[in-house]
Amino acid sequence: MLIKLIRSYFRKDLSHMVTFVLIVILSSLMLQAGLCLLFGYDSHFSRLAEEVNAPDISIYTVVHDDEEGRSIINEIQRSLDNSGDVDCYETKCGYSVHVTYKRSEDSEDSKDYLESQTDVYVFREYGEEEIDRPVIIEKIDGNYERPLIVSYNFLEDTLYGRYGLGDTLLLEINGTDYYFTITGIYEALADQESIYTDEVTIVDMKENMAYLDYEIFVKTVPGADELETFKSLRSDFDHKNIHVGMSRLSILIKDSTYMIDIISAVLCIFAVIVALVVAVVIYFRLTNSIEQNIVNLGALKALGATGSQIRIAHILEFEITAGAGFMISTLFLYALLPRLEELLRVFTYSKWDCAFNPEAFLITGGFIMGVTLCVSFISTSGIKKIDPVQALRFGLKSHSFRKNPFPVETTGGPLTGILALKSAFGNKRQNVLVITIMAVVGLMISIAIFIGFNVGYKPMNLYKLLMNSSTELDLYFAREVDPADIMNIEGVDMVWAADDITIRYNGIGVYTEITDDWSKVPGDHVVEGRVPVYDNEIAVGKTMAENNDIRIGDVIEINYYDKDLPMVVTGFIQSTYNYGDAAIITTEAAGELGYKPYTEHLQVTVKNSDPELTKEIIGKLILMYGDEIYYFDRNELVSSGDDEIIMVGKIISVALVILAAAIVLLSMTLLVKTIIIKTQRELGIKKALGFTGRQLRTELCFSMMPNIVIGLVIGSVLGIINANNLLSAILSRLGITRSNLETAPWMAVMGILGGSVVSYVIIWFLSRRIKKISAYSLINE
Amino acid sequence: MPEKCLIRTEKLCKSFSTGGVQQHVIKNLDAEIYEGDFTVIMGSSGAGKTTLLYALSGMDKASMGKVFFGDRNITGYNSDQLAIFRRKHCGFVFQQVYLMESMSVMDNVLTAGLLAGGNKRALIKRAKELFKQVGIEPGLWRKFPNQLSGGEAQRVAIVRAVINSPDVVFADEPTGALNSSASEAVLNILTGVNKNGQSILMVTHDMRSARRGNRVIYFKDGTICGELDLGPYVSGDKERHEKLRNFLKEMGW
Ligand SMILES: Nc1ncnc2c1ncn2[C@@H]1O[C@H](COP(=O)(O)OP(=O)(O)O)[C@@H](O)[C@H]1O
Ligand SMILES: [Mg+2]
Repeated sequence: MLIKLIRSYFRKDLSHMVTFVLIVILSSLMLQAGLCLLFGYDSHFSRLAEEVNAPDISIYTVVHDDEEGRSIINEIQRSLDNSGDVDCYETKCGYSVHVTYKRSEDSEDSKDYLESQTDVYVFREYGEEEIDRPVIIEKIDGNYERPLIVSYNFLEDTLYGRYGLGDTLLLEINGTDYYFTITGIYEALADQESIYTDEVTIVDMKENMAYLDYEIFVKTVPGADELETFKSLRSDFDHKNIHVGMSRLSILIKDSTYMIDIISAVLCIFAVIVALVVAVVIYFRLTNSIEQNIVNLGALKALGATGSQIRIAHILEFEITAGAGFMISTLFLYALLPRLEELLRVFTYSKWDCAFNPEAFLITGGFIMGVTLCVSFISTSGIKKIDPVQALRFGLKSHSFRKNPFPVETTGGPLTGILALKSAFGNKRQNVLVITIMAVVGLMISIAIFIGFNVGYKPMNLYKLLMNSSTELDLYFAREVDPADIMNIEGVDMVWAADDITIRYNGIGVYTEITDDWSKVPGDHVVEGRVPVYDNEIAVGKTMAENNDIRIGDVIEINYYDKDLPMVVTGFIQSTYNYGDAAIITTEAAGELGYKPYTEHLQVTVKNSDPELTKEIIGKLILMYGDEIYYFDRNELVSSGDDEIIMVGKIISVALVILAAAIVLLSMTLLVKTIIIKTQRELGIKKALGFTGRQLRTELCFSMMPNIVIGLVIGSVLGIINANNLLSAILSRLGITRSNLETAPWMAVMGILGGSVVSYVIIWFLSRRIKKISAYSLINE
Repeated sequence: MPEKCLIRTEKLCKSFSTGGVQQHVIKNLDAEIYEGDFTVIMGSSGAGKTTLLYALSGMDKASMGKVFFGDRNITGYNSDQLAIFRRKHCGFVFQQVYLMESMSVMDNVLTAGLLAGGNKRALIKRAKELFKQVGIEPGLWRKFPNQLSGGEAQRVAIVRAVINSPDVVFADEPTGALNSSASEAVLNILTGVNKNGQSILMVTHDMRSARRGNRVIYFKDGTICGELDLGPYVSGDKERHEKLRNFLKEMGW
């Protein structure tokens, strides 16, 4: 009985089920992709850490090949020997070499990009590393003179993705040309920048060496806390005045995965939003089908089917479909994942095997099936109430119209408009569906516009947020200059000297920016409280404050090498440096810490962030200072489009628009079909009375517009109001707590207009079947 | 007096193909319907009366041949042109009534009137007059079709059909679903409409209804196989009844 029922429901609802399944696929594809990336990369990096025997703590330093250099290394090693938390460590020495890219005769144009740029490479011999041993994951066989084994990081960041496995690289080193061949790609965690090569090449490079590049990789004893050990070593080095770079395993993994976290957050958030559409579609479909089949349901009941049997059949119909959609989406996902993984290497510098992830599978499946179960359970509650006698006797009539909204008699305007208004407000359930879906669509479109504007059209906005900078132009001078001279150049908005140091709080490194007077520096510097003014004041990163329970007004102990200073927290900043472990202080305060900031680095803001104006200013500066100035035009960097975050932003923006359009298309297909079936009789009568197909289609489109616009208004307004909150949440991993990108009412208006036009066109297109049905055949139904 | 021709067909054919089998419902029909007549089409069930009615009214397209309405050849019209033609020149009454369930009685009527391009105030006035004529009390005007009895609904449908003063009212078994007293009322209204000068083309297979016409056409085997001139309707005319009975007997009814 049950199986027969389910089968008959499927047959009847087939086209609706196709729509439903497509939306389920959309939602579960995004959710499972998000979770799969999140969990997959997490376990990938844990595995990689084990495979390469990753160090818990890494120490980096560059020294000269002399007595002093060796003594620094010895000092570091002594500290490690004396620490009870250190199990073992390995010291690796690389040769740091200045190289200049040259164009080889047979090179392709695309590779000229690097021509005559100089860089510093660190060469190491591929050998017997115990800790952070590089794993070769791709290689070409054969004997090559000067083979290079490099990382994805090196290929992407140092070579800008312009070279790959098997390519030769012509470098000029100390006046001599060398050909190198990239013969392998390795993966490691702590050191992804070094180049591994053979003994012969090493001998050559040793000769050309500029200085020694040391890496000391530390494994802690079992049970030792990574962060505590890190802090104690850090303070040990500080007190001995040893300047070294340090990192720890969890930060190394975070460096590789922060972008994955952002992408998966976006996917999961929008998957849940699309799931809302899934829920509304189920509700709409089921309640409608119950209403339309009330006679059949009554007959079934009369034949002895219990209410719960019928109900279970309906629920199973949707559960089976949702399950099928979920399985299809899983197949899709794992078919697409390898392609996606290749793209993601720009961020992860690592090759992930895209293995099936059972957690992502189970959570997504549970979520989709759960939502379907709940909604279909609620939507079928009406079945219980159907009385067989009542249903058989009166059928649809028991669901008769009671109100006559917008009577033709008293409503002004053209007939089509009145009829459209009538049906727009005649059906509550349909309105709920349209408003909810269009709110989702409005939300997506407005956020897409918001992101698109701040990333695509004005990328400086996002760049400034992520770089905690308000600058267009960075100037470095060979001598001290008076900022007032630059302030006088036309178009310059503000000039200030800027420097940064890494201070310590509680043993962790805090990236700290310094300037004379923060109140003069344009932009919002603090998200709470005020900027530091006096020499004992500091504003710290909000994320850092949250992690360490720091409140405004607290006095915190700050160290800078051997100097300790209690400082008052005046406010919170947001910064992506060190994932939020950042601060700002004044020049005076830096002096109290024993640091005298450089004044040769000036930052400049340009009026309206105008790229053209920036170029003009640069021209004038070159005339004024000639060789004594080195500049960095951020507008140019941003507009070159190489920035990965900006690329991701653009992709997200476009993807949201496509997703929104897909949702409109799918849900409107379902809706329009249902409406046409439901009003088939009236459509036929109207045609007989002399309504043309065009009139009826216009009426249908118009009747849907009020609710579409209401939904879009709700969604777009919510979207624009919350766009920055959403972005802050997504970027919180980076240390952003309050995004302040531009939002404007026109973005919501654009969302509403765009959404309305697209919906109108889609509904008009979908309603074409009205044209096909003739008055006569409809009446003969 | 030679009557003026309202609808004329030339070699009209209408066929349906169901499951690959061609069924010719109207075959090479040459027919004329005259202005001001109350024409009745009779025939056995399945003879193709409805099909003929719809072909003549431009509700459905002919398979072959021509239909002239006045001197307009409506055969070449596309479906939108036909719709515009119908709203201006035709009114329809159906056996199943077919009022729009989602609209009140008044809105049903006004929608048809406005569609034909009427002025709303004038239409409301006319609707009220017509309602009064057919006995639809003001209390029913704002009710919904499913709150009416079958006879009331059919009377509303007639008001809807004549609100735009069409040249001709097409009625397909308008009394088929009604009891005899409701039928009488409906037929009286149609007769009244006809007396006002509007043509009526009614399909029926009920003798009491057929009696109302001044001309009866018998449709069989896809063509007109006989017709009867009854003259103007007079109530209780025994002779008229006999005439019709004999005609139908002759036709093999
Ligand atoms: N749309 C259609 N498709 C196929 N056959 C049809 C269609 N409409 C009518 N017919 C057929 O045409 C014949 C005449 O139908 P109809 O005009 O409704 O007869 P009547 O009204 O005289 O009872 C019937 O056999 C019917 O099956
Ligand atoms: Mg019929």
